[in-house]
Amino acid sequence: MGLACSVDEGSDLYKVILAFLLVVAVSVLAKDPKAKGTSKIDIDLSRMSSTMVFAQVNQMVTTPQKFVGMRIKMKGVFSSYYDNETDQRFYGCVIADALACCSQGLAFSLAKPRKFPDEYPAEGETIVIIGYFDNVKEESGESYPIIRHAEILKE
Amino acid sequence: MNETKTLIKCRQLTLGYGSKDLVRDLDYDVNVGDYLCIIGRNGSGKTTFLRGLSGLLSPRSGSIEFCDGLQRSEIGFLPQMTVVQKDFPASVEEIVLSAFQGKHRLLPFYRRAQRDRAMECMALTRTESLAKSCFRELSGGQKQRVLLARALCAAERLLLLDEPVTGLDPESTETMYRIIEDLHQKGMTVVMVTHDVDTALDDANRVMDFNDISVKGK
Amino acid sequence: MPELVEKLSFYLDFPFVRYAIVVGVLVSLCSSLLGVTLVLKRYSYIGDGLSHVAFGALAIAAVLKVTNNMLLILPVTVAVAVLLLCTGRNARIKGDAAIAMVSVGALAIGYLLMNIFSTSANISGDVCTTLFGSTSILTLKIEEVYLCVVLSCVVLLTFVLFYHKIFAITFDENFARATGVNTTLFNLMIAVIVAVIIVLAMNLVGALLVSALVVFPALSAMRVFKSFFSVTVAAAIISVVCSLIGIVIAILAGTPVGSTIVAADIVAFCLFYGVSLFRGRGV
Repeated sequence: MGLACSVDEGSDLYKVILAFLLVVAVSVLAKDPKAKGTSKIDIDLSRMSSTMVFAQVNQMVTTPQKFVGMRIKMKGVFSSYYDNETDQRFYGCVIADALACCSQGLAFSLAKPRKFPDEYPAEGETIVIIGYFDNVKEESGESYPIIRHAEILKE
Repeated sequence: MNETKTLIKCRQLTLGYGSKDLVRDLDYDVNVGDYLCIIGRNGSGKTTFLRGLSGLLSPRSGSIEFCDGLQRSEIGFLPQMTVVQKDFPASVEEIVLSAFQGKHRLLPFYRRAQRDRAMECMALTRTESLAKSCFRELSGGQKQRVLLARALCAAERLLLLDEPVTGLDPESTETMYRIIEDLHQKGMTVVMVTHDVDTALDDANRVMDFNDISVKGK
Repeated sequence: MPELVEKLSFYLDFPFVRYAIVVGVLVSLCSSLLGVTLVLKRYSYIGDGLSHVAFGALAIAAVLKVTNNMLLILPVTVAVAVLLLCTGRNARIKGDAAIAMVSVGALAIGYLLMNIFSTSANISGDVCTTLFGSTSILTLKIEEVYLCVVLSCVVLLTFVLFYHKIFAITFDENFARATGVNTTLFNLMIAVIVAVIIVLAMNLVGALLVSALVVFPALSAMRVFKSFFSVTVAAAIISVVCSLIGIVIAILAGTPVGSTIVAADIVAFCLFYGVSLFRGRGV
């Protein structure tokens, strides 16, 4: 409700938000030492609501160059797809929404290859993966985003 | 009023909507200081004529000529209330002040003098105590007086009233007529469309009967 | 509660969330201001019709692969708005039918075009987000954010500058015209502004829900407030607060942004309606 006071002044609102951010930045920095044990996660999609995930993944898909090399953690539903043309199997982590129309997903490839389907989770099973974001360029000139060197935390 | 000066001169005036001419080849003069009542059946062209005088409707043919230095900005107009207005969330003050919108082109606020004039007009129509009230909560008579005050703000010399007492109770009607009569006494020229033939004959110094005119043609 | 605050501050770290809030505030502010006039002039359905037209234009832009689709959507919507608002006045019933025809036609053709020609892999997602504004406010490009901010400021400035004229025309167009206000010009201006707002608001709540953003705050404010000025200001505040609450809930709870904002608007309307009933009995 406090934000409502600055109704007709976008700049004031912006200040409020900036102040908010400052607090956030400080708290994040303060928390950092605890997380030192494991390697840092740049974007943790598993902590976000589905709306935020959709928006974030959308950003990653539309402007992949900004995210290449970042360590991503995401939680979603396992799905795989076999491409006849390239004789390749793709694995994906899909985050569905209620209407299933705004679902977003990312392909991933594992750091330690496993055998399909025995060593992979079943279709539709919930998984959590961590890996590095990359943008793969195909010969056709088109590119697609993928999470490389991924590990599956939960099966 | 012994020496009559013409205020508005209508010559060969034809007015109408669509394919229908409601006023045909009318020659008529409104004089300075007139209290003119226009009577006639529904659809006989009374309101159409008033809309012509107010400039809302341009003549099909013929002319409406302003004489004696009359300007459009000196004419106040009280149209019939619309459904939208009856339920409109606005204060009386806001409505009366809106009369000045035609006068200054671009100022986003009202000047002191305009606010004073608005109060004056509200006093003349006995609505000054209602200034802060909500329009939609007023009685029919009060609403009509507020709209008259607004018309007055715009009017310096001529008032055009379209059925100002239709739908009012006898008491409000009486008040309304007294206010209009007062204004007339102070020198305002009044042109009023009405269904109330008795009052028209009592108060007015001229009566224009559209039943005749529309039949007669010219 | 502290957990929610922490989560919120985490989300506010993302630039697209901040853009969404800035654009959301500005768009809801503009739409509510003009909403009062549209509701009072009995033009509530215009918003709906125009948003469908904008959707159709968006589909055409997608088919033509226009990079900045605003450049196509905006002029098309403005043109239709001018056509509908400025000709529909004289023939009310015909105007009514025209709006129904144009809006449904645009919706159908838009969807058809998107389905046949769209290159996107996720057509249903595109349609869903443009119609219901599930997430489009969170996926704005930076150019779109700037465009929204500039256009909103222009709309706001115009409204403030011509506030009294807009009031005069809304209350009594005939009287305004008789006293020398150029009503044709100002009606044209209102039509253009409305079209701009509709296009902007489509980002926030989606094409099908735009009217809610235009109509609800105005109706809520009209329940309780008694002067045009207070109604306008209240509508603006209600609209902005509801949009903020809607956006925050949507990102926290993962609900679609557009419908959450509209839900907040409906709740506000019920509250104000309750207050008016309570007051009516008290007096």
